Amino acid sequence: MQKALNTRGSLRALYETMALIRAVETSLLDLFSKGKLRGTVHTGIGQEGIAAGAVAALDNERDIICSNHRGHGHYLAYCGDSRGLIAEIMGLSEGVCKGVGGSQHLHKRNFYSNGILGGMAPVSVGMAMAEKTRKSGAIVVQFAGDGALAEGAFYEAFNLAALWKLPYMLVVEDNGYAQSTPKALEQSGTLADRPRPFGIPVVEVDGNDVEAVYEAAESLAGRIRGGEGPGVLYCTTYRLAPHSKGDDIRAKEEIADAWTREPLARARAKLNPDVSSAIDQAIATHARDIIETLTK
Amino acid sequence: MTQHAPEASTTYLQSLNRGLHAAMAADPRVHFAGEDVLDPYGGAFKVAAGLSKAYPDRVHTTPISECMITGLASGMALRGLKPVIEIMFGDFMTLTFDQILNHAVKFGTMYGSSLDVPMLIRTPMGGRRGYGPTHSQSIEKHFFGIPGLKIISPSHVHNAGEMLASAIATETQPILFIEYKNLYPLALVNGDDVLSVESVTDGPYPTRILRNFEAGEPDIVLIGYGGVAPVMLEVAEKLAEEEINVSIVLPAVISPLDVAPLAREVTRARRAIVVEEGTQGFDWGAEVAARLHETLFGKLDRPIRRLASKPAIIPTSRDGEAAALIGAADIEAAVFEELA
Amino acid sequence: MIHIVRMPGVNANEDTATLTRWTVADGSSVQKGQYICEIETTKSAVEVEAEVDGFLVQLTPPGGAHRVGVPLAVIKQSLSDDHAALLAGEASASQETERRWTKKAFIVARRLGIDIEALAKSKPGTTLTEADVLAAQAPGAGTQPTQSSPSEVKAVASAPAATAAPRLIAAGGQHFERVLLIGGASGAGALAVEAIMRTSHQRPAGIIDANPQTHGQIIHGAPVLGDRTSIPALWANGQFDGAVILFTDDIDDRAELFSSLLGEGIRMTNVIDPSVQIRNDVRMGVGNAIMANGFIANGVEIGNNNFLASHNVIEHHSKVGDHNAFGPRCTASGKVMIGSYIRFGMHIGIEPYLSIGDRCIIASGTILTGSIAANTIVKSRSTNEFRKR
Repeated sequence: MQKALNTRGSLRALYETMALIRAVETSLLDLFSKGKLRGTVHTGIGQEGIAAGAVAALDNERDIICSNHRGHGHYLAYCGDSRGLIAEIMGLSEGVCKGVGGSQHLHKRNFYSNGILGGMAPVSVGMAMAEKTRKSGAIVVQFAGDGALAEGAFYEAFNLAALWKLPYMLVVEDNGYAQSTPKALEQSGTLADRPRPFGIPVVEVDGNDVEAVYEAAESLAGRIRGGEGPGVLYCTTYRLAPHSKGDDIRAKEEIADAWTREPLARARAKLNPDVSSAIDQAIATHARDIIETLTK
Repeated sequence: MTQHAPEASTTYLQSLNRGLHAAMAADPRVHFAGEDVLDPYGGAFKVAAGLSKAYPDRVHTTPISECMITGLASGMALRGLKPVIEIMFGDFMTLTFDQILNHAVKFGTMYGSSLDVPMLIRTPMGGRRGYGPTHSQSIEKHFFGIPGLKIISPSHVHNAGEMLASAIATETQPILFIEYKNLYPLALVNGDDVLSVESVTDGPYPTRILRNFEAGEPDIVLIGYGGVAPVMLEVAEKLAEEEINVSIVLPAVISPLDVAPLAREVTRARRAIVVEEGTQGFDWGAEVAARLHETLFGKLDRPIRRLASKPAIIPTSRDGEAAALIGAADIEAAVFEELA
Repeated sequence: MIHIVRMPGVNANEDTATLTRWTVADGSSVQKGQYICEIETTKSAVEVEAEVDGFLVQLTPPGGAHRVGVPLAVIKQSLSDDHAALLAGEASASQETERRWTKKAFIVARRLGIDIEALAKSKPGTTLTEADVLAAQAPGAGTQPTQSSPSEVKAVASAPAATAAPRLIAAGGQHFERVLLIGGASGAGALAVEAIMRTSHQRPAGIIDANPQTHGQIIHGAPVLGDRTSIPALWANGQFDGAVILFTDDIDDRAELFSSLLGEGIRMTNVIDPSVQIRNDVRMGVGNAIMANGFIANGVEIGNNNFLASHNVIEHHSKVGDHNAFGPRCTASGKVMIGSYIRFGMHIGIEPYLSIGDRCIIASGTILTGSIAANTIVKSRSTNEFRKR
């Protein structure tokens, strides 16, 4: 398949985004253990492929992103503002939301997040209604985990979005766990099938394959932008770090096995090692510099 | 903007309907959404009658999804529109609660900068129509005191429609606009042979005071809002014959509470009763009474009295409903007790 | 003998009740204590029992609302007893008592301790109003004071807001003492209005001020009623219950006015801000005004017509004569003897056991360490030489 004409969708660019997310999330865990963060922190280590792939496929000028409690990756993929994010989570006035919102309540330009699971579904659909009304050509992309799909708000939102053919795209990040509870104890049936009876197409993709996510998102976003109504990008992945901190009861073997399939390793395998290690180094320096200035 | 006096021979319902038409005519960003709102039905209580005919692209009938409708309003408001939504019965407001508390009122300030969320939720509260336990309640007390949420509830002594249009046009944060079902068929009141009416605050949501006396001071002040207004008016008219001077104070913005205009009138009588149709306990009257006691410490002859409906379900039967809801006889009896 | 069963008064706040059901059939025999019907008010439902043995004759079907006292049934010793004539008389009587007073008249009468039944009997055929009740309780009612001349009465009739006093009574919690405040519409009078409003037993009847420009003004809710020439007529008309003098600029005038008012039979009263602490065994005359935060200790005796501004302390067993004026924050330590007609400035200290003679003037800030003879003006900080300890 011919691609990479769009530099944002090139593997190199996608890898850069994933590496930035990984570095920032890792730094945040480190800052947390040093007591430098306010409140708790939900990291997306292992899920970087979805944020990087899906966001790269959007129109960064027009499109709107509604994120959730685990939204650092979405935010960084959207605007790359690692300093504003880290400062925000440290509760500093230099934070993107002046230390008011914190980890779960981020807003910059067309990016909005809220920590109430499922709650942003009706809001996202409302935004999609506004964009359709104003004929802005924008689509609204909501990120949600598998656990959140147990919330009823989604099904009211699916119904209305499909009924009114709104430019609404839901990206599901199925990491198999709702906090500490495995999916099997929480969800009946098949999650990916949930939107289909509403007439909403569901595209399933390996969320750890960043290129696959990008391609699927680009194609789905195009259809939605074209007026065909909402769509769902259903991505399977695995969260390598705990839900927040200190609440991981998963088997060590399971986590170790997941590390062999994680998205950065898979991308690195396809990239020139010199390129990937140069990116890794540059980003590590970038993250270290930010944290040094913020913790001075 | 200062309110005009209510137009005579206009019902509360007609006034609100005109207010909606005026708001939509004034600003193309105004959209209206709710259940069963399309013509010819025009909403369960016909407040939206004629809207969809006049503005077919901006009036949206929705599924029975109160949570979704409320989120819809937040989303539209955050993206440059001015949505007005109708929740068919006030009782269904429970289904909107998360969208109001954790979403609509948070967006304005939780991102560290100020975002406009110009949305208005209209809903009718109240009983006296025989709709029974889940369609007759006045549950606004569960929404009082929510930071960032302004609750407006006009009585039929207010220019309700102008107030609604003004809120839609000028407010930049979420508004809960509470109507009362029992007021819909009533003509707006601007005083009569017995009762004089005056606005004691300026601006679009004036506090109105009715008095059943011309000279002298009130013996008692009744404070209330919304659907208890006609009940209080009935009591004041009756007590005029008994030479008991009654002032009825009707604020339009009921949360947050501006206690100053209430306190000014209560100072004159030194006794007051707060009346509401919601259930007793942890109620609007508790806030009003506490604030008046703080403001008028040492200047009251009696503690502020609270009257509300029974802390129980509202039966469907005529007698059962009348016994559950606060009524004119309860108010009258309380007046005599307070004056004794 | 025929016994009439009347609608009982169940709830003090309701004049009517509904007869919901007869529990005994019309014409049947009943025994004393037997339930004969049920009645209901908005607040309660009660059963009515027969008070005598006999035969029950129902006068009204169930379901109707009836005024308290209206006959519902009769209990006859014999079914042949004729009760029509009795009931005919009853009907006209109940018609007459239909509406004998307004609720407000009833409430005011109760507050004033007036027997409204007796008052109603004295005015048959009318509905008593609040004004009737107030007229009945006025001091002049029935026995007009002899000293009120027609011209004085006329002055009152034209006095502004002359009706304010009765209204304040009606708005109060009980029978308030209505106090006439003499002097200082722009000063001490206003202060006293606030003090009075804070008490549980007094309300201002109005203010008297020499300045005609103040007449008709409302000071903190109290009307300025006129100058001192209008006082006798106000008293004669029953518009206040007691007076107090509040001006302090002319002590002699203050004393003369006090005496002349007493001479005219006008009652002088004390106005004491509720924040003043008054301890045990304090004795006090009349016409005294004590403003906020004063402290009057055990055993103090205060005469008549004194004005104590805020924060005055009269320590234990001190004596204060008549017609004195104290500025703010004067302190008399224990067992001080203060004469009469004395003007104190502000912030004055008086050491224990000293005495101060009549008609002295003590300047502000003075600390008295020795006694002062009558007619002395004290300007220095101290009147005694210092001595070595």
